[in-house]
Amino acid sequence: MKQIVNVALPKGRLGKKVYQMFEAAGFECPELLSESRKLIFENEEKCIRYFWVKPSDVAIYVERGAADVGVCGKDILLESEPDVYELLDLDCGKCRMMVAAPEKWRDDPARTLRVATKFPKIARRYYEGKSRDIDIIKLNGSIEIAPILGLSDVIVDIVETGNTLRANHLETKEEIVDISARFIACKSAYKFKTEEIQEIVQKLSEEIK
Amino acid sequence: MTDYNKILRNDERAVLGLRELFGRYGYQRFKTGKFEDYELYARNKDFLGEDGILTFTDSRGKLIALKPDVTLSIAKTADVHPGEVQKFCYDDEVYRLSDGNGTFREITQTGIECIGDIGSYDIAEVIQLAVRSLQLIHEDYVLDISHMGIVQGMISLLNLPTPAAEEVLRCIGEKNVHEASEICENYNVSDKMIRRLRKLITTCGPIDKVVGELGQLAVNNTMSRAVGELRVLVSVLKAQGLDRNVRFDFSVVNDMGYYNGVIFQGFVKGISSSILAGGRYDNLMQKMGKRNAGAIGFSISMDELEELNYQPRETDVDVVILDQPWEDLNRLIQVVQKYTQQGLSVSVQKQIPKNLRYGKIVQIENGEVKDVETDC
Repeated sequence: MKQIVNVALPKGRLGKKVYQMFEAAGFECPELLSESRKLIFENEEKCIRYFWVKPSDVAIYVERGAADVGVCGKDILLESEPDVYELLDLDCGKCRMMVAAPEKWRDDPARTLRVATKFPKIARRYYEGKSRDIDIIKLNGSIEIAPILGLSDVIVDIVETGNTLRANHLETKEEIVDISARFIACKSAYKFKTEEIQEIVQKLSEEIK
Repeated sequence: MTDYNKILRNDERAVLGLRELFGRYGYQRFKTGKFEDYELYARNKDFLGEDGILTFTDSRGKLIALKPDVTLSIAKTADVHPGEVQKFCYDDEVYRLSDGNGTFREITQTGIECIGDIGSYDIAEVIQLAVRSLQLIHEDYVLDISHMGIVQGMISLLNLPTPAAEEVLRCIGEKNVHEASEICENYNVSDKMIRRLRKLITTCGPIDKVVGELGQLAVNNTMSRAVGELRVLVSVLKAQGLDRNVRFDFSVVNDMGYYNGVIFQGFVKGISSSILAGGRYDNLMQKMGKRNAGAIGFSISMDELEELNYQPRETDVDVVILDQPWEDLNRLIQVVQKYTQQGLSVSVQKQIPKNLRYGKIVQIENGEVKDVETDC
């Protein structure tokens, strides 16, 4: 008998886009797009149950098995390094993890570099690879403002269009890694719902352009 | 006769069941202390993976660790002679420092180690015991088997520099085909080899279904030997009727510096991470200077079993007896005795307790036991 698969989707724009891929792949659940405050949606016939969670929490739900599978950005996977399977690159929600700084700024290797970021692990790993001494300033939002106010020299953040950077007279200096949405699965759930999850992977991969 | 099933928690029952199982196969109980010289772990840092170790200094300033693992202690202690195998089992607490939030964890681990002149029988025995252990813990289980000879053989064929090879190994562990291919493309690995790598990552399924495909994975002698070893295991498990929930899955990987032969991981339904992990680790024995000694074993983390099939109890105690100081004390003790002898649990309280859930309340009136009516 087919078992129901629990899918954690990231709340917001990316989640809606990703749901459309699921819908096109034949795992629709029309109720989901209605503007209600509900968080859990089920289509019994298709054996699928969706729920909306905060994007940075998707990996936790999946790692702990509260969701069998989920979709989250590679940035979050790199930052939290959850023990999950990363089964597909969905090739959407694309952006880049970049180092950005004020247009006129030049790096002075004689000084400790002050880095403001939402992604301390990624930033640390990147600069460790370059043996650069840094001081990490962990922020939770509006990272762009940090170098303007002199809080940091550079920022490490995800850049999609670069519009926010330009509006604040910042420019990208180095690229760290490409980011896109990934389809992840709980290791244990993959063992006990193998066929169901493989079917989703198969059908979703056909939807990737 | 005491009903231990009623008293023991899931994890406690499993520990005892496993101890008995391992004992039947001649595994001797090995009691390790809680402490070990830190040096042992410093020398074999990668064996333990990512988790940190809890350390402190003793009165002479020597760095001591709270044991993060039992295998290393057993491997260190084992005294091996040609033609002999030593078999140990253990159940002990180990201590880890979680990477992310810096919290300490105490984990109850049980497991076996088989050290010495390892032959086909020993490998087959350990794998069988892994299956039987999982069966004992839960009816819905899966044992994934892989072989470092195949995984490592594949990686060495890609001819990548060490950091990239490690990245690819990590991708194999994540079943991450897209990123593994990307890394290989960056190093100009041929399409043919990338296809082989993809095949390796995606090969998984019940052993008798996949066994036919194993031949396609092998391209050199080391890999063919590994495939041969796996085929023997398939025949053993089938003959024993233990093959039902056993699968091949080459995304099971372990540190290449320590593990060399068959490696495996066990899962049970309802627990999100693997609870059983093990494999052949001859390389560790070589590193410890015990040449010609092989080793294979596994460990099971028991701490998550507590949550498995957990049924919250409806009452904390069967009978609450109200203690009224003017009544005869000996009569009260007599009544308590009467209930406990019936197998009921009793709590004597001076007034109706607010946060205790109970079956019924009684009190003694002129030597007679009477039920007390309550609102709830």
